[in-house]
Amino acid sequence: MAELVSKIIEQEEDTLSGRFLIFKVGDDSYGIELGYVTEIVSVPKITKVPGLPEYLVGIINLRGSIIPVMDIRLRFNMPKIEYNDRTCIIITQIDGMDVGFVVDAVCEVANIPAESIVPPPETSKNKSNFIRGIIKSGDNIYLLIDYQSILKIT
Amino acid sequence: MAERKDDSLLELFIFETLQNAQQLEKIILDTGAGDRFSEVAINEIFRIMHTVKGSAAMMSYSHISSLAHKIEDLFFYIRETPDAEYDIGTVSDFVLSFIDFINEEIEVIKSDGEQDAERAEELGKDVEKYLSMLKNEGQAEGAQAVKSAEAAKGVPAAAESAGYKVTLFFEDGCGMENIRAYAALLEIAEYAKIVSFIPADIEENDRSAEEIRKNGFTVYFESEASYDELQTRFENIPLVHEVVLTKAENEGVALDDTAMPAAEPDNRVKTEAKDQAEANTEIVAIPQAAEKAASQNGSQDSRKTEAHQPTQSIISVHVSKLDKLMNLVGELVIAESMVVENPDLKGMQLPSFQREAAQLHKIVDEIQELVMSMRLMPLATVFQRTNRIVRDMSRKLGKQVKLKITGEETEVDKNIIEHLSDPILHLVRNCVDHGIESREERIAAGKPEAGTISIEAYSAGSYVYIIVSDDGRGLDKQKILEKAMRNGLLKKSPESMTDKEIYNLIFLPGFSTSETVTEFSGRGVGMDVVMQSIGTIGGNVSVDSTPGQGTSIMMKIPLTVAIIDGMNVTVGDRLFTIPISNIRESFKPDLKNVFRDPDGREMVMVRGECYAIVRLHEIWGIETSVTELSDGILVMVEQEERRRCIFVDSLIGQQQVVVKSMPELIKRSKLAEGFAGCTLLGDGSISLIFDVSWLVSFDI
Repeated sequence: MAELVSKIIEQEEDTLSGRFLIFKVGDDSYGIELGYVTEIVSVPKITKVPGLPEYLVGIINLRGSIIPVMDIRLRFNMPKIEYNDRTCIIITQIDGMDVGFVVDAVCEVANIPAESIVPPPETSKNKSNFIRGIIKSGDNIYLLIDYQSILKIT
Repeated sequence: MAERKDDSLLELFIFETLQNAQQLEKIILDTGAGDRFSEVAINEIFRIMHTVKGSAAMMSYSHISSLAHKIEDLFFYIRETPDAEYDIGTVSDFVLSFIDFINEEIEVIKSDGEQDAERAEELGKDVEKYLSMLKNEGQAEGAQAVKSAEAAKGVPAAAESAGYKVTLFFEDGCGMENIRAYAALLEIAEYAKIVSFIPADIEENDRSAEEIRKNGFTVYFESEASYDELQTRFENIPLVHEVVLTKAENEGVALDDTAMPAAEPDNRVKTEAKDQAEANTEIVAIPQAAEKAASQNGSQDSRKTEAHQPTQSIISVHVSKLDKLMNLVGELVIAESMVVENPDLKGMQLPSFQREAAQLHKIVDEIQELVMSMRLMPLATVFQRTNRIVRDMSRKLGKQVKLKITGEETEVDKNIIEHLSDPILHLVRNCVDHGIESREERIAAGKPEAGTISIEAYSAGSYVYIIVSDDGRGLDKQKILEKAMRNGLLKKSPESMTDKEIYNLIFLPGFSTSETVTEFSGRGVGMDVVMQSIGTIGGNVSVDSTPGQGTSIMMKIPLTVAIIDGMNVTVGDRLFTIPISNIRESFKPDLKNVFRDPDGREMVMVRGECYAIVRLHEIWGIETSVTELSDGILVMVEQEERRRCIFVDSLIGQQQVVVKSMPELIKRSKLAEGFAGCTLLGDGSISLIFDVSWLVSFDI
């Protein structure tokens, strides 16, 4: 994992476009633009904050910075599971806000050309809200996370 | 070089110019009451104008520099003509509008906007007109006197153009000597014809700074001005430390010599040698500071002037660096306790480790204190601005108002200063506008004609108190009550309210007692803004008033918001921190005094007063084994005179905590209302800090 992180940090901003961090939640694989990712950490002690929705599991202390943490599973209304060795928090910075996402596992960094991304089918109204697009890469299918809606907290 | 607006240079320019403008304002306002400027004031204004002009020219903001130049001319005339009959009000207005102009212009420069050259020109013309008027008057009245004075001084009425050589030495360590030299050169060019200068490559070669530092900056020029005049002008060039001015008596020779290209070293030596031999060497080398000190008579005056001198013992540091440093020190404090209280060390006998740890603790403590003190700024910067408001408003409203300021040297954290400025200005505006009566009213009431507003600051414990008071008409209880009733702000029956409670109604949102909206206050925003501003920095405001005798408003402000004394408490397995300043007491309740009101709200009676109980585990759904009041503990918290008792499992202990704000995402969601922030504890875990103002006011 440390290798992955240093690999991420080494990249220049402009070479990050078209590169996605692929992670697993439940049976599906999801992608997030590498440019947003600042680091990946294992799950530390999470402090709960009363008043927040269940999927905002709390805040963590990352070397002195306080970072809010969202559980992607709970955000997607999937059943809760115990955090294990493979559970990771992807720390991101989006619109100047630091947010950590709890995911089941981090898989790889994938190069994906823009033409491989297609918009989500407008079949179901509820779930595709959080998905901005669908990525086809070889035999794999990744779902592209939509931050706007995922970070809209009510 | 002048075209290149380096960022750091620009920042320095903005900083220096704003500081100069502030200084200028202070001088003008200090002089205020008299009918003439003191000599010290004139010299100081002259110096500041000069500096502003120089640095603006260096940054090629020509309209600022030309305006400064015109005002400088005006003061030059005032200085040189001791019996000039100028009107101090008009001159002050010129300078003040110049200050306003600079302040606005700096904003424009910061935002890269369009500069208002027109206004500069307009103002400049007014100044010029006034100056020429003064000059005409002066000539008509005392042409004879001036002439004889000139004769006595031995200054020819119309000097002929003559060749000069001047060598300027800049102050040690002022930095960027080549740029300073360039600025000086531009300035000299305004009144003299530059022939050549050494080193010649100041514009292109940064290394020339080194040369200037060693040998000075030499300029050959021709000028019609007298020797004395030139000497004064050179001494006034910013950061010039020493001036060596030589007059070439034989004009032809001087011209001949200096016409040679100065950049060639061989020639330069020759030039200097010849110059030395042939010129009538009238070398004057007076270190400026010494001369200035000597010219000051009163010891107090000289002290005042020296304070304005840029001294190398003070440097300016960017606030972002200080912020970063403070954050790091916060981390250091936490890291230290994480190491010293590391669970791995539990139960071990480590006498030497303990000793060294104690030493480390002492040093960390000292660093923390030092960093905090570095961020402290005197309130004077805020208070000074009130001078201007009082002056402008009292002139416009035709009221006579005296402003008395005490304790301006009291220091508070920079973050807090920023939040104080607006509330204080607002309060002072209110005092002049609504508090102080018109002159007729005051005379009728047997009060002194001039009203007095006093601003007082002092620190006590970890708080700073700022009191703004006036000797005006006082608050009108009846009016306040009526207004509150009309706006539906009254929660109790008027009969049961104390005077203080009634007065404090004015801080409620949507309250403004003034019947008429004036230019200065009463624009719909009222005291609630003051309250809000002070509230965000953890302070609070209260008001007291005596009808006919005046109103006083007291602000209680923590010295610093970054570090507070906190009480750590537990509820279930959660950890929370309550700011000590909000805690009145904590106690085990006697169940006999606990009861429920008809709505089922739990209350506790303490010494005859009734307080609502807030069960944290219930409102936040925290699992805990402590649900009986007798098992846990009640903490009475207070904010703005509202009190409630919160029920917690246990108190853990008191400690200083570094306040961190809640992450942006959570702040934006507005769902975690009960918390003002969070803090890191010694073991790296996070504790949430209660927002007591929410705890005492949310609907149970």
